[in-house]
Amino acid sequence: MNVDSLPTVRTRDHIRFRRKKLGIGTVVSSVIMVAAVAMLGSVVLIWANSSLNVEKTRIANDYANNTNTLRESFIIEDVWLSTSPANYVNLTIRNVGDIAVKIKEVNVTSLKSDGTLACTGSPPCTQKINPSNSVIESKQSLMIAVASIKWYDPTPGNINSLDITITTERGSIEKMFWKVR
Amino acid sequence: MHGNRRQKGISTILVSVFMIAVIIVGLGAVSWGLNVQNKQGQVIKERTVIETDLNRERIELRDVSVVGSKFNMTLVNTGMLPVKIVRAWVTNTTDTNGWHKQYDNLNKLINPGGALTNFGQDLPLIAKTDKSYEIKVVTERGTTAIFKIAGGSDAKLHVRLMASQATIPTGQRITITMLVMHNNTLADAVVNIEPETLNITPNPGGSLNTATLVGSVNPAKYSSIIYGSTRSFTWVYEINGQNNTQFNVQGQLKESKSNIASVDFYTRTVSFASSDYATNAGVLWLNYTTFQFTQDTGQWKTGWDLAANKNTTLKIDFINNNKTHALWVSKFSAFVFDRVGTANDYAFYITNITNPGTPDPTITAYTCPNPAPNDYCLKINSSDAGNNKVTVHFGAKNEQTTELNKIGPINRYQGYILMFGKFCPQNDPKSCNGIQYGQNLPFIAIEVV
Repeated sequence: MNVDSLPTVRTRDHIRFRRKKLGIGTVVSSVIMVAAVAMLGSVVLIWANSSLNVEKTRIANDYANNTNTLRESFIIEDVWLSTSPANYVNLTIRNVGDIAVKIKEVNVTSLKSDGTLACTGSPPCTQKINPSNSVIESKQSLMIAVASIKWYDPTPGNINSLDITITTERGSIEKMFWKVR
Repeated sequence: MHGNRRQKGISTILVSVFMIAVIIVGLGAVSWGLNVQNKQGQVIKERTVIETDLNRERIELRDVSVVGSKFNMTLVNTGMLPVKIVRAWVTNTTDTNGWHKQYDNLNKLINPGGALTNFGQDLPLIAKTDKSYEIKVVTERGTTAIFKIAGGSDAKLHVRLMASQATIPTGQRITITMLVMHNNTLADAVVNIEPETLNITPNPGGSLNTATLVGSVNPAKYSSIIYGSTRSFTWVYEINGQNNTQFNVQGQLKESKSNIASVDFYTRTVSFASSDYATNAGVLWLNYTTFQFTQDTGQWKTGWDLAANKNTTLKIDFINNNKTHALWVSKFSAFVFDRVGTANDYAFYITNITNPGTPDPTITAYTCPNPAPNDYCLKINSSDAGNNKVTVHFGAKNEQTTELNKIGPINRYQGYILMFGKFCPQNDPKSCNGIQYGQNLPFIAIEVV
């Protein structure tokens, strides 16, 4: 509010009193305004900073996961089709990367020569397991047995190959076809 | 006015403070983001290097043998990076339920271009030469190299037999070579390569036709053969056989590791008897016993004593041993005598007919103008056509003349016959182009008295 626009009661005392009154109000209102703005600004700033930090943490986690996934490196070193016990497929997985990997899922499927599922029934021609204690330290290997899967058929060509897929906790996937003798 | 200015100043300060705070926060976020991106790029770079390195690793099997019931392998690093073999898997692939073993912590280093020898000697397993194995080695970077080593009859090799000669004179030695080629893609190496004793069968059989091994097979065996390579074994046999005996040789590798290869060769009796000299030593045969001459007596005479300085004619039998081609004899053919100790020689050219007579024999010039050419008047049949023996007369002083030539003064002479002509198919006329032929048939010795 502009002081000059107030009604004109032009007595000296009145004017002095009014000016005094008006000065305090201005100061108070200014202080309040400044405080409000500072408070609001601070709140916004703190909120923004906090949100940014949360986002940074999330991105940092995502980044860590992605880079760790990238750094994961393992091979299916050996596949041994066991007849004793029967219907076992023993997989040896070697961690050739520089960080530990955790095997989350192993999927084995017996295929015909045309790539279709070799059989139905029991034992099944496809088997999926979620192994426990499946952490493989760097430069180490681990054998995982997949039980109850039909990998042999006396009729030639009925089971031609195994489709093996290994998935880690971080999402890395290693896939291979193993030709059955 | 003062209050207004103060308010504006405070606002400016406040805005500035917030702007700075926002800028700091923003810059921090951008900086952090760039840092994250940089780290991620670094990880991707490292990962790319690892993948690239993996593709640059390569191990090949150079040699393998079984020594002391253990593998003795030579592995070569043909890649571009040093490799460290950390584990091996060995599988017995011969037996139905063959064993499958792993061997850890090998830690064998091979530099690029380097070789690792005696690999397998320290693996606690028993390797047999009659079994097949699959050996897989794993490097620290995760490369696997698989070598299939075949023993027993699991992998067939290709063998081929070769004889050093297709025909061999009896009593001579022949070398039989067995080439072993490894072109079987089912095995990287085949161990214990040893040949069976060769089986040699003469046809016709009998005690007169024999093949006797001289020494032994060389070498006795090879420890292995790598895919794509060749090995050889050699045997030396002394062969005795009647003429044209067929010897069939059959051979293979032990343990039925190969096909059965076969090769034939024939014996040829070589002698220098009058009946077969030319068969073995030349196309034209000269029958020395038919040599005769006539001078002034009106008779053909045998022997080697001619009268000096007299017109002389000679005759001798020739046999053409060419099986398919007849010989047309050229006018340049001559019986030549060299006088011992001098430079004199006496050429008696071929004639058509020679008749003994007194005081001189008579001759008919070696001419035959119709049909052309006026040469090649005499034909000696091929051996297959029969009647391939012809008496040839010599006596003319020059080609195709009737003038007699004289033998020289008293001395010893060595004689030889220069036969020129052309071989043509048996039924071709004398105008045939044929194959030009010349032969010097030595030696006849005479004494002029």
